[in-house]
Amino acid sequence: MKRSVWLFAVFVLMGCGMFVVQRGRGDIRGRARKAFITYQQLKAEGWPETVYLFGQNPLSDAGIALGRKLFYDESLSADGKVSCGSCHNSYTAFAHVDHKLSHGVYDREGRRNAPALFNLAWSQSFMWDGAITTLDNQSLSPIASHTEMDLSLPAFLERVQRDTTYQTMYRHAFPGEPMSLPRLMQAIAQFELTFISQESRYDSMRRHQIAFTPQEQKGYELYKLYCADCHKEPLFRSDAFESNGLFPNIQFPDWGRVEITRNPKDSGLFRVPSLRNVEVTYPYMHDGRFATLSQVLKHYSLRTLKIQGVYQPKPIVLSSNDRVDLLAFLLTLTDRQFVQVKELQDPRGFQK
Amino acid sequence: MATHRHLILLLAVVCRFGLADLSAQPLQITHQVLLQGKTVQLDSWMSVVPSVSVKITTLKWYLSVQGKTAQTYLMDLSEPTSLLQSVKYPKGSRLYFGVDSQTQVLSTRPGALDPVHGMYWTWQSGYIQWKLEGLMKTDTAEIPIQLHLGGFQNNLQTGQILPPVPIRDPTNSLQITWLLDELLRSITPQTARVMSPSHLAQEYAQRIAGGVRYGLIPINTDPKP
Repeated sequence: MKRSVWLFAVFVLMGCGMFVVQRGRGDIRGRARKAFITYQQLKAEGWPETVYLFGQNPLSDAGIALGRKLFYDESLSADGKVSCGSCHNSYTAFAHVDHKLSHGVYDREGRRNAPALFNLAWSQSFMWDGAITTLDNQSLSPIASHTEMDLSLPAFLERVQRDTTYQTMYRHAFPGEPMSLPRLMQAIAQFELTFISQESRYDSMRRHQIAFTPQEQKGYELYKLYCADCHKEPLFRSDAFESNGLFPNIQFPDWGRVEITRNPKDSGLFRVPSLRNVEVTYPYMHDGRFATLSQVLKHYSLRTLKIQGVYQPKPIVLSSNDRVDLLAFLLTLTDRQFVQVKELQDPRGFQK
Repeated sequence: MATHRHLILLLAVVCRFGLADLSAQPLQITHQVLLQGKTVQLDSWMSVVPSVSVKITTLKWYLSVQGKTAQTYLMDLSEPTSLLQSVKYPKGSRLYFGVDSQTQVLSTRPGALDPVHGMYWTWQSGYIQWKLEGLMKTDTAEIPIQLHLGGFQNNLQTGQILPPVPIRDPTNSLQITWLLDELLRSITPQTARVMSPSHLAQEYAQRIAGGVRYGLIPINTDPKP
């Protein structure tokens, strides 16, 4: 009898302990659980292992909600008008489509085209030149950048700290922890980790739910022949930095990866972006010089420019029919569901 | 018999936890920064060589203890308390100037590694290991100095393993002296501004590490009222 009482007490205590651990991690029934399940499913479907260290920043509903609010908060910029969401629009797969180059506070113009944001858990580095090595630290860059949000990090922290809504949300996201910049950045990362794009027509074909049209299929074969070395399936991107034969932009000199590595061999190299959602993430290239996919394909078929010291890939020979077929395939990579997910949109717009 | 067993157990516990194992005791570290043998004071002109003087307005830098895990400390000349540390220094540890590359690639963290201290490059990943800002005056000109020395990848590493810590006993603390003479003598108007990883930043970092000296000073165990 006495032994069973002890055993009962031990089980009760263990149960309480588990409850505390779960509570401490925050609620994971909503967005966090959905993202977790999606990552598991994609792994089962043969997608590569994620790079992001989820153990350092476990997803929670409260963390994602805090990150979402921070992502869309213009008050966290020097002039109170620019947020992450200003250059990364959910309706265009978090790309910036109305200008070649992104612009920030006081209409200051940056020198690069804001990249689309999705499937970030598979990225080893970020930005066109790979300057940032972890997603958690990525948001520091636009916040502090003179041409983007231009807010000093202490000022950013202070603005968040004095906001009572943020105080409450932070307590739910990171219970018992004093508010800190690294945690706020992790909250933004949590929100961004829910940007999972995997419901395109291509994905349905891959899951044998639909079949491509003959034209799409021919385009797919052309993709495999000419594009797949750099834009690898199923993410249609890679962590490599490549030259695609672009002539340097004289107005905005930008030599890409070499600015980070200082290795002359990296001159003119830029990250290989994803072809997923490429239909809605115009303009194209690191400086947004091409407005349409047709212009991009034309560039690849004509590139013969020789730039001193920079490797130039050979032109891709495509007939006009080939180009149309390849375009038809590229359009199968658009994830209409992803660009319409309400939980990824500005929460204030959603309330309206 | 039972008493003997208890005694043996007690002895084992004392041996395990009670006897002085220096490596388990925290290492007290104090820092001083010297130029021409004088303690560097912020916002004061100090002579480098007869015709050159400097006024340092900001000086912050990182020091790590590399053992099984890395501990990182931020020193800031404007905050005297940051120049005193009690650090865990397990056997086999080494002191390291800067933040090691393994820590650099991870997420930022609260505490010394919080980017809010202005020691994190936001335009790219990585900590500034050493931030020295100020003015240099020669007979003919006054030039600003901005040394933001950092870099941890692509053969541009600036972190430096420091010499082994001298043998110590519990009554001594370690005094680390940072001699700035060689660093400041090597700065020219053309090399006074380093804001990103480079070979020059590496050279400067090597000069800083080369200017490190250790000393043991008695810990005041009998504080006066």
